Amino acid sequence: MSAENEHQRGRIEGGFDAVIIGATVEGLAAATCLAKNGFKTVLIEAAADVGGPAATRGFAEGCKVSDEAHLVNALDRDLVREIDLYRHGLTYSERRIQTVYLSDRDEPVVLDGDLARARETLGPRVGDDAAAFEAFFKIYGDLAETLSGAFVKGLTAADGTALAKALTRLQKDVSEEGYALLKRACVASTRAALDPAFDSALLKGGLAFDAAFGGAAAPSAQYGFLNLLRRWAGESAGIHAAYAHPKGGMGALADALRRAAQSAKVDIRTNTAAKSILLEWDAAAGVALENGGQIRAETVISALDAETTYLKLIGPAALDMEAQADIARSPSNLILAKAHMALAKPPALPKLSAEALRGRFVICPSIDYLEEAFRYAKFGRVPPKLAMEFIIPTVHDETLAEGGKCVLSAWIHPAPARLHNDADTAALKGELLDKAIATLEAYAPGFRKSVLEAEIRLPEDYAAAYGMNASIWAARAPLLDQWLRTGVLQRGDRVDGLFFCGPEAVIGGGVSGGAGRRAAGLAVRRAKSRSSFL
Amino acid sequence: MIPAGACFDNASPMPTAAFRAAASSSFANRWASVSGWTSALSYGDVAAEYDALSRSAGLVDLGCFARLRVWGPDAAAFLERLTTTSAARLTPGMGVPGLICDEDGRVVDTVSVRRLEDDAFLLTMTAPRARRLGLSARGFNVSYDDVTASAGALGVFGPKASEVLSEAGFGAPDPVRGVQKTVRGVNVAVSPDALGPVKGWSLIFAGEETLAIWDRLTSRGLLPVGLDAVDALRLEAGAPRLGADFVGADDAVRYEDARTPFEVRLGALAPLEASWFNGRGAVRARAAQPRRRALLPLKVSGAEPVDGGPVFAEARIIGVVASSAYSPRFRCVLALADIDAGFAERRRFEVGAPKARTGARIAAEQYDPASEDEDNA
Repeated sequence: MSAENEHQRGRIEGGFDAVIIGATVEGLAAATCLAKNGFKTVLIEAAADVGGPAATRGFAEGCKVSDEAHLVNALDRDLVREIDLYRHGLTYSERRIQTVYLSDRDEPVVLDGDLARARETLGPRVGDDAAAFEAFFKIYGDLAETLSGAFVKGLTAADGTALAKALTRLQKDVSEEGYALLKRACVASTRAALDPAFDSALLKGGLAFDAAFGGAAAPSAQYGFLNLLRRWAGESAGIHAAYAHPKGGMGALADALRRAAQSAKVDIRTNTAAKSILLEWDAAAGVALENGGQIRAETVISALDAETTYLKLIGPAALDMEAQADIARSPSNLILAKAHMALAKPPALPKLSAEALRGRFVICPSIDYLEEAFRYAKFGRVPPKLAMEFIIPTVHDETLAEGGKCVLSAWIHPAPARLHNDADTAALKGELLDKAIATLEAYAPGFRKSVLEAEIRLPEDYAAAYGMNASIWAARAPLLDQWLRTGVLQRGDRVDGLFFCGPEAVIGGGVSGGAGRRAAGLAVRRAKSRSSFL
Repeated sequence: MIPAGACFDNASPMPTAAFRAAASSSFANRWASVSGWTSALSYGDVAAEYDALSRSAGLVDLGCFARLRVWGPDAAAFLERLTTTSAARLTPGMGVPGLICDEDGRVVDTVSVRRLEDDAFLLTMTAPRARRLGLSARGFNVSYDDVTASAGALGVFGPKASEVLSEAGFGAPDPVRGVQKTVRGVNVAVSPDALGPVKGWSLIFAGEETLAIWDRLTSRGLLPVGLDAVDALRLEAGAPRLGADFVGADDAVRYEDARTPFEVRLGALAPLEASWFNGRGAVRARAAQPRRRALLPLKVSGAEPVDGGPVFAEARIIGVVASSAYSPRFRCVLALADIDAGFAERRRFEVGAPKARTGARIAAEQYDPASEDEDNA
């Protein structure tokens, strides 16, 4: 503990308008937005650094990698504008990253980073599907863009969570045709949506992977397709539904947010853990700290996960039992796992130029392949052929590795949370790494020999590193469910003055900042309605 | 208050611990199912039973309530969360009535909490509600055990209840504090209780001793009293009965069927200034909003009950009579009517006779149970 913190032990501080718990991307976004609205804001973070899982971390000698999310595709555009993130040092080393759906036999399918122009890159390789994709993206891409605001806000149905009511609210935002499409898209399985639209198994497989990514729904499961719309609702570096790589990895994005927060005069305190949220007369009154101190403020925003926020910081003795049951759901038995590999040389992908290594690669040659992977993972086995997404960050950004090394960063989804024989996580990691290298070897001959060092990151590792509940890295419930639930969590009516922008509030996952901006907006609105100081 | 049985209750209700004793005392052989337990409507003469309860004392079978023993280091905190009572403030022997509310601030059940020892409580509710107890216990170091089936429960109510109990050897020294007594080898927990407006005592003991206790009390002239007489008395006080006047939020088929404490005259049981309880935030919000429905005490002319009859105002139906009974004291039918809260300030209404097909309407007048009591005193 630093001398400054020693000094603060047991102190009760007042004079703040808002306390934000957790300096994640969402927490930083919320703090900055509040400060820009004239709130005297303090941001507390248990760790020594800001950013939470958005961090660039060394994992092998001379090699760094974005520890969790490795690409930006849903960064909230209103947030970027509101806090002027580019001025605070956000730079992309690569924007409009093309997506390459790999095949172990045939030529890959390449989608331009700007999906609206994908027809050119798809080319004659997929025949009629190039035109079909253009039409498909025209419909669903437009619908997704219309919905981007709703994806940040969440849906709230007044009585319970009736889907019909929630959808009716959306009706005013989209056209009549769009609404009919949306109703279909909400309930459709990925397979049902993609099968009639395209011929190419590879294209369908790749799109199915993107739709299933992060979720617990297999391609044949109902409600799965909506996730693809969520992915297409985002934008990065000004291009709709595109991917971009921040210069310096995800940690650099967190740094830009930190600078924005500092310039807005947010009081950022690291190494300061929250012990509980103070409640007085059913309203938030501040935060009690682990070091015995208190920070008092009428607005509290939590960027920690829902279980930590509600069950630990508030506790069951002041939480409605129905809310508690809703928050403490048992997570899916599927997880997302991440593989980081340090390579001696870039992988040799046949039928692709060296320039193509700048892409985002997806290994999922068909819907059946993905279905098979889900089947294995569901029953606690590591699929022999993994479905994965990988990038080679060192191609975009040479600063991430020294001495000519190359880094590969891959998401493996789906993966089992536990092995069927209850073996320990080391065994799961070993098996995942084995299968990941074997899978990559099939697509890039000679890959195995180039691996210098490698690691697998599991939810437990993230939970330990960033002080959050491991369940948020479990595969997510269908998007519709997240959508409805997020509205309830964000609205902040569980406790007056407490707003929530934790990972559960980020619909569809990813690095967004939208939930933080939204929480700050709600807090500002509440403060305005209560007093005249603003 | 004794709840009313739902119409889809168990077709063949279970006998309470006191059923054999009650059946042998019954001349009328009129029974009802209350939460699946057989309870006597009357033992023969409703007027005599009413007199006993209002002037001297009567014996009531309380076997229809669910009883749970709750113990553990967090028992008080658990009960404060589950119910609206301030359980932690009770000293051993003390009891207090309360409600269970859901997260939307609607009434789930009426309960009473009694502290037996430092970390052991007796929770009495109208049904076991296992799901809600399970949800509520998450995060608390607490255990609970349903003792309904093994315990016998009788109540002695009325102005002379204490005297009768003392004569029978069950007297308690303190009028507000329960005691444990051993009478002729039988362990009995005697604690102050109330059936709506009627004060009295409840006796809880091992179920197999019921006949002995029943005989000990009735042989001293105590009259068994059925639900009809109890109903008349509680309507005089305007006390609602779960299942008849409103349904609990967990049993409501439609969302709007459930009621907030303020809509069923139970606002006093959900004190917002005391300890936190489940749904308090919502109850607080509801307290600030206008009521949607109101439960109105009515005096209806005539002698026939009008249960289920429509209530008219301004020539249209604005509600329904939820329960009614003839009151010997007022010499008319008293009713509680569930009506649109917009009409709660009106004095005069008309009630349609539920079974007559003549379309005849009966005049009804709102009355205030509290002021009627003062007039009589």
